[in-house]
Amino acid sequence: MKSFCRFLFLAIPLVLPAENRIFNGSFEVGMEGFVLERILRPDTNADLQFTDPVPEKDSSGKTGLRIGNPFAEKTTLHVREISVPHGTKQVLRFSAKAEKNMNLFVSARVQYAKGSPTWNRTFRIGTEWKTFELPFSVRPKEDGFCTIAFRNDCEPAALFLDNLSLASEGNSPETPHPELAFRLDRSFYYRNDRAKASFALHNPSAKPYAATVRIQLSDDYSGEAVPVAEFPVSVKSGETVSRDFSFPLPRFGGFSLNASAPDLRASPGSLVVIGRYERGKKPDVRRTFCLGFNGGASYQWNEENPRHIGYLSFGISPDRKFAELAAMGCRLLRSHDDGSNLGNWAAFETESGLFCPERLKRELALYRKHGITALPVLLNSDFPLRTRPWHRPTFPESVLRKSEIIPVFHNRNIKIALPPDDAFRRYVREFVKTGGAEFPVIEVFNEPQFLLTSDQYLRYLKIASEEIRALAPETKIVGFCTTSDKGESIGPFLRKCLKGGGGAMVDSVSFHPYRSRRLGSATPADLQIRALAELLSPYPRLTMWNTELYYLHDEPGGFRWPTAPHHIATRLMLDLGEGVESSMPITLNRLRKSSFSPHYQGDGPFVWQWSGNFAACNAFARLLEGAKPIGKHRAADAGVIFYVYEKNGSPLAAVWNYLDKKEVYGLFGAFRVLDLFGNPVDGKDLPLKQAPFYLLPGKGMDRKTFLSAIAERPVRMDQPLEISSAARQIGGTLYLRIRNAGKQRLNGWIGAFGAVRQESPAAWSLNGGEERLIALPVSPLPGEGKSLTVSALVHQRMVRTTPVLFRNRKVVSGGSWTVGNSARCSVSWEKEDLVFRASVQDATPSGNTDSHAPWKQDSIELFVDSDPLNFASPHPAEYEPSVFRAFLLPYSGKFRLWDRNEREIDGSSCRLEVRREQNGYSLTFRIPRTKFGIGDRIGFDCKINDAAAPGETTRSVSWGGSPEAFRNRFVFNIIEKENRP
Amino acid sequence: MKRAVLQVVLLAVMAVSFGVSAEELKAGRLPSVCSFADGVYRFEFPGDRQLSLTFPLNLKQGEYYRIEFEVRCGRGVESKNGISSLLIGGATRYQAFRAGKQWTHHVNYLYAEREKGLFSLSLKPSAPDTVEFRNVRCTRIGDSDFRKNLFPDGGLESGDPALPSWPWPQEEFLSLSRDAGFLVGSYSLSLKKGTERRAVYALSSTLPIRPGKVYQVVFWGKADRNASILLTFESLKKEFVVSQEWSRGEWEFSVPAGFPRMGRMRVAHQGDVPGEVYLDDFVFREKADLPQ
Repeated sequence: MKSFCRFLFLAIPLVLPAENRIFNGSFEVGMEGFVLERILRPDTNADLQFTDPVPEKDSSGKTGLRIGNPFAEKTTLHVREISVPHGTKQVLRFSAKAEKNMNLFVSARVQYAKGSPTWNRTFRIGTEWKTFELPFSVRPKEDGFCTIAFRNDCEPAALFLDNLSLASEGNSPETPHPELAFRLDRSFYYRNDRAKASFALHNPSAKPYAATVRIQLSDDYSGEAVPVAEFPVSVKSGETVSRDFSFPLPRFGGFSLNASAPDLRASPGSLVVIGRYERGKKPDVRRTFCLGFNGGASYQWNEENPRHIGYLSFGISPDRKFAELAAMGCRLLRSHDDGSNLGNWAAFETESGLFCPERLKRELALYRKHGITALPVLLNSDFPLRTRPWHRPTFPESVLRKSEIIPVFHNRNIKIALPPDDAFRRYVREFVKTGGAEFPVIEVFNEPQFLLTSDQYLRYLKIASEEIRALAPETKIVGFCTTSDKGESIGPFLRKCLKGGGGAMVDSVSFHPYRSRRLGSATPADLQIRALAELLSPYPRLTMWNTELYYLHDEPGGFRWPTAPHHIATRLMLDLGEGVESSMPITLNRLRKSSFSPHYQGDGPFVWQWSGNFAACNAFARLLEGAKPIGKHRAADAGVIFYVYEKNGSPLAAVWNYLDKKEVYGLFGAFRVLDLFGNPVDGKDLPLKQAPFYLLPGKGMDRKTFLSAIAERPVRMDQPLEISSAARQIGGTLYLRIRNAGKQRLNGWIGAFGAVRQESPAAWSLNGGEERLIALPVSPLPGEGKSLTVSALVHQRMVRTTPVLFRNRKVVSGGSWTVGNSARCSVSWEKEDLVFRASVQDATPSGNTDSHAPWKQDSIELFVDSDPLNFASPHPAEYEPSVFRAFLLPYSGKFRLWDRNEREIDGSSCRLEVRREQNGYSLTFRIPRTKFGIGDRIGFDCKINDAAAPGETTRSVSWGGSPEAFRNRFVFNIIEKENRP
Repeated sequence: MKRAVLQVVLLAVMAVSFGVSAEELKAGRLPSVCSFADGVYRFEFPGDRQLSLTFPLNLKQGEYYRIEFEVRCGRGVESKNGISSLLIGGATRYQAFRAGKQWTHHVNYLYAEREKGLFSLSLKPSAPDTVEFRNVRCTRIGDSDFRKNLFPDGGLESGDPALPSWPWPQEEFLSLSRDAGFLVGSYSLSLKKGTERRAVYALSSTLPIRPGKVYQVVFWGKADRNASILLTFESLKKEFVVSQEWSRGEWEFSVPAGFPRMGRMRVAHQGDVPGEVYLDDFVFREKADLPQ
């Protein structure tokens, strides 16, 4: 019986499907698939050394991972993200032992589109090997992405791990396939270096493995791959072989090493190739445009658990991180969103009046060593009270006790602490004294407009300015940090601050242009900077600093969409070209690959594998650090921009196709052309897309010739037809706009399919520069989810686009409709007015106040577009001047009108009549049509807001049904004065 | 095969209305293997002999009519044994039809040389099958109909693999394509010429035509390499060159006296070079008389 059971124990893994989802679970091919996180403790580890884990063979020859902890640090081993299928129960298994008995905290977190449940367990680990399990379930209908962590909370003993597996319950945890991982001798290379690499291949299966392993090097940006090496291998069961090889690196950029062979599970290698950045003398960041980022040494302050105070480090020490950033060309690091930032008050004033400079001095030594300047942000955004134990401490307790605790002006649910003036003054004084000349720039607060009124901000800005100017008059004060993040407008807060005298308190104005990310954005980035410059024109001394723009593009997916090298390169080029004094838009995280935990929402584990962004930033630093803008030329029809600069007396330019139009070519044969990484390219008939190019004078080209050649805007556009990026289907008609961006007349045909059905193509013709609204007779096709494709045949060439389709309801004057279950509305043309009527059932009248946002009390919001078929290029769905909004307050009888920029407009010519009824109200709102430019057709939406009390809306429901009505005019429905076919 | 209960329904021959509304036709005597229920004629076709449904026609002499019907069968488009015929005044005109597993809509046209005629739907001998017909209708067409597109499903968007507009089965080289990338719709017609020496063509269903009038034929074409196609309508013909991007072809012709009242369009892929030609958006209509 015993032998039968033993047989079963051995045989079952042979018959059950082997399914270990964890790559390299036995560490036979090194550390690939894992990263070690440590909080490096300065109290025990003064040199902030990062102690690497070590795969070790035991006496039986089997490899396991030894994770030493000589400095008793909080140490976590993370497993690379694993996809787990829906409807399964997964079982995490691992073997562990320790130098001495200790607790091991294990967590498995599964990330979904919404939500990330975590399973945790603490295991007691002894000195002998033992196997442990942690089961968890995956949602029945949604696949998840699992990250696993093993944490040693400061036990000064080595932990040993082996046989990590994750498999569905019932399946064998054996690893079915041979596994391969690369190792490279450096984390970055210089061009023309020769990379020395090796791979280890382990065969866990019961059978020998023989194959030819083919290795390729892929350019992460272009996707091009070249073969590097080929190795026939023969590996016995349970064995590991390794091979060395080397290859040249003739090009700049980010690359991946890939191995392929039958049945082989290979983890790609990663490398980046940069140019030598001559560090020389540290530039004066106050006046020199240089490469900067948001980030730092990632200090964590924790007064409740001093053993957790230290530097959050993934795989490398802060010193190594800074060294590599310095080699890239980084000169400035803004201390924000980096743990307990440099300006964190609680970490600085540990007791009332007791300031501890050690942390600042320690970090400033690191910055100094690597020639990087720190840009501290006083208090960052640290005003909200800490409401959860895991929230980072911000203000010292002694200060909090004396602070005025008030609700944020726009939201009663958020409480902030306004510290006493004298305490704040003392903090600033000590901070500036500690930093001295190592703080040539200091920013005062981050995005204060979300937490403070302009008066509140100016109160503290005045104090900070006085102290800084008294102690360090050469220090540049950067203030306001005005932002268009979260839908805000960049102007109003700044205007109020300037009006309040804030202009005299600072030297530079920082801005975060979230609504103007690129030249092709709905509010183009250069127009936003120009508007800001105009606002600052009465203060010619003030310069502009872009201190944050984490999301560099407008593409779908928002911040989840990866930041590509051209996004960062063009933003830096644009800021420099528009006269911004300094720009540090992104965080350091954007310089590394996200392949370790790409689906993690939040601050997930990662490996510092530098990406192509690192190489693009290096090229910028080498070519444009310290440059000055001297010109700007736009080939508007082709959507191409040229920024011209001068560096060390020599001119150079940056060029790119900012609208990403097709078939646009640069005629750059006369120039020396480099791609965004610095690789030389042939400039003749160069296809232009979003990726920028550097243009330098060609052979024998003098400055004057270069500048005049650039001013000619040497581009060619082979396909001048523009089709709008959005289309509206209203009844049986599809509306979109076409434009001839060229000079010659164009003729052609146009057709739509996919989400609509059009019987036959329609003919069109346009003179040069002409644009036209096209109305195509269509019928909708059943089935959701189909996208619209518009094809245009232009002189025997087909152009295809996929405009975003908006389907709008249409009603005629006098027609009525319901909104949700509680309101009936109508709009009609009556004499000179547009008349809106509504009857609303509301059993919980909130009353109305002026001190709450109108949508946070009982109200009706109207969205009106007097020119709904105006298709502006290139963002037709964005609000136009033809759009206005009205907020009708039934209990006060008042109303407010906003223009498209949310500024109040004169509504004195409008009239609101309200009748209170049992369980609700009805109202009539009249808008004079002539005054508001209303013709025979409008775009329209209305939203009913219902609150029990002012300050918080219980529910809102709109006619159009889209939550985007506040910024997208194409989701409005259509109302016409008369029925049109 | 289960033998259906025969329901021999002797229906009175209904006069076809002389208005323009469609009139449902009623079959005469049903074959023994055919039943009629809920508007559907159902054949349990044994396959060993030709069987037909015959619909008597009462027409107005000198007028044009459109006959439509729907058909489906168990074997799907594999079966190629459908044939319809019009017998008027001693002359019989045939048109093939194919059936799919889903209902397929077919259109024929006829010119009433006489007041009486017979329309038959026949199944030639082939494999046993279950075949159903419904909605057999006859509609008189007038001037306004001639000025609309007479080509049924000219855009091919029914997506019907039975290709009712091109009913003569030539599946070795004629098929529906979803990859042709036309400006509208999903489907196009594909004519594929291989290396074999044989005619590659598509033959349309019957179209009506009136002598003395001017007709317009429009189509769109594209080829994977430049090709020549020949459009033929009875004795009239015109050649077109089709390039590697979609282009529109147009042909106008005047119908001479004595020209047949009905005809078929033939589109042939000319030349010897192998390749594929895509065609779409066929229009065949009469041009309105110009105002004097």
